[in-house]
Amino acid sequence: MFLGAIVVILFLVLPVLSIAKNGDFNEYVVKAGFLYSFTKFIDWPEEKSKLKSNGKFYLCLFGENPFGNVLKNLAKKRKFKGADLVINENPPSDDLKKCHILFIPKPYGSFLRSLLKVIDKAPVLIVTEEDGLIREGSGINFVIKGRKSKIRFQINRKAVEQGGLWISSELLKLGIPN
Amino acid sequence: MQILKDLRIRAKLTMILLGTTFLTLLFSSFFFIIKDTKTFKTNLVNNLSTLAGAVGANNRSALEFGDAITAKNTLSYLKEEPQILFAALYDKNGVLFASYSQIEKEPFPSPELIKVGHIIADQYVEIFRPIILKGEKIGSIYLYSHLKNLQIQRDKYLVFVALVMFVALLFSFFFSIRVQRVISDPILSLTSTAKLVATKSDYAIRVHRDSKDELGTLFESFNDMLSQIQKGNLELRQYRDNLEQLIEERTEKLKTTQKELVQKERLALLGELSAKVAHELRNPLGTIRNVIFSLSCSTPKNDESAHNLLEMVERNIVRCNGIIEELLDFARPHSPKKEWVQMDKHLNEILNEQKLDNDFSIQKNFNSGVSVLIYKERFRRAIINILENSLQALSEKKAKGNKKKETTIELNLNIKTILNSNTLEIFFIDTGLGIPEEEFKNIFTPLYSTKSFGVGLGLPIVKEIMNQHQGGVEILSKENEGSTAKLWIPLFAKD
Repeated sequence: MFLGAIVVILFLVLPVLSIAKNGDFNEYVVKAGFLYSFTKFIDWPEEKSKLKSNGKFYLCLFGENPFGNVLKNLAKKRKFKGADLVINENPPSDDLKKCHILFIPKPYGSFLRSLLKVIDKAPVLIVTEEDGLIREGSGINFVIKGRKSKIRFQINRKAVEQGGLWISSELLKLGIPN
Repeated sequence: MQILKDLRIRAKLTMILLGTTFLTLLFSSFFFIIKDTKTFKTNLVNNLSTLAGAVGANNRSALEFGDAITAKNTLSYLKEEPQILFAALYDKNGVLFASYSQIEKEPFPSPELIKVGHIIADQYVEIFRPIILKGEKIGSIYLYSHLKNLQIQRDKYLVFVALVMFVALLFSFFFSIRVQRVISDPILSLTSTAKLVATKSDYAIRVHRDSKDELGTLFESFNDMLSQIQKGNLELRQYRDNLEQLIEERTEKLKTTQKELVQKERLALLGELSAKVAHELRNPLGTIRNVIFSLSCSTPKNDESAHNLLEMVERNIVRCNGIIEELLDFARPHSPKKEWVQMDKHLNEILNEQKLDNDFSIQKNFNSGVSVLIYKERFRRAIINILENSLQALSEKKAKGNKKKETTIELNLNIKTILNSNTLEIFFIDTGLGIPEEEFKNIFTPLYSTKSFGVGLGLPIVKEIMNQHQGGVEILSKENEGSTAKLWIPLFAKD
């Protein structure tokens, strides 16, 4: 239902989106939906299963939260990998390895390199939204494409899989070239 | 149907065999085609369903991320499947998400299709499937495929069936031509034989076949029938030949019977007449006798010539009386009652009453010792008649011998009774003159007499009397040597 709503809204607000600037509320509604959808095509290793993580799915945010209440609302409606979504903003560096997804919004991309060192190939999906970060070691990087300013994403398969994650080819084929 | 009836048996059998083959092939082909079409459609639906599943699965992520371009790209791979004329993806709300199309078409499935999942029409097949991701319906797919392949396959099949049928019928034709002879040959042979029999009317012809089936039975029956006709014809011919002979015999018999009938009538008439005449004659004769007696008494004893004349008259009166007796005897009705008579005794009494010439030697051998139930007076007449004949024959022989001055003439009469099982036989064996051969055949004919006197009723009366006693009379005779008369009577006559 929710995704449907997103899609419907997407179609309805496309003209609006096209003129919207980064950080627009609607952009993060879509991105939040995409984050949820990613979990459908990506599997985390055993150590991060619902059982091992006390039925929690950790979505960590670095820096400022661009989603507003969108993620909180999403957590109420959806289960992520069958577990409850827990939004962890700016966790202590010791807890970074516990994250299932680490979202690095702009303009915090410059912290990617040091964050990667802390994570140290732990099974964490790093999602960014700045050009060029996909080559810096980000797993998935959101981009805005085309005249309609459609939200697409790039995938660094090597970066995703080195932490022991499995990514579906269905998802891979949707990724635009790096 | 009349045409079929009039066909020759070979054509008929061939037609039946070919017809059966044709119908069998037609029916089996028909059902195979129906079954095949159904299977083809089912397979097509299954294949399309699988394809729809695969295409749908391929587009799950695109649907999930609202990536219509990728979806359209994915759908465009369907051009590898030329029978797919139209394909479309819908999001979870039923809004058209992406489509692929080779034809102009309304891009939405009918409500009925959404309900049942697939529709098979004559020209096309439609498939509608939901797309599920992680147990959640994220959209649906719609495929529209034409059925040209089915039609092509059906056409190929029909050509194949026609070819198979043609070859099968060809084989059946040659096969039937050979096989039908098993039935047609014997029937044709029977027909030709029947024709031959009919045209030649020769019932000696036979058909030959060694088989234990109905045809074998038919052949046997046919042969039996011919044998019977042949036998019947032969019998008929024999009857025809015999009939002529039979008619001749019957005619002869009829003539004899008629003759006898006429004679009997004559006799009856004669009997009546003679009875009347005899009766009327007896009284005047009695008067004449009395007169002669008176005359002889009153004539002086020394008038020898007068006495001689009177004696002559008297003798002739006796003879006349005899004739009258004979005639009356013939016409006299039966004595009313039979009585038991000791035959030997009865014969003795009769013999004692007779005047017998001393020159005759009479032997009597009466040893039967039985009594029989007879009309006593009538039987007596029969015996007297036979006896008189014998004595007459002896007398004539004596007279003949005297004339030739022979000294040793045998004049014997042997009378004997013999009991022969249930029959009493009385024999009169004389050594008299016998009966000439030419007269012998007439001895039982009434009114035939060779005697100088008598009316010729002696033996016919004997025969009549013996018949009345259910017995009979037989005469054997040889001229100049003598005669044997045999009377026989059953001991227990039937009433």
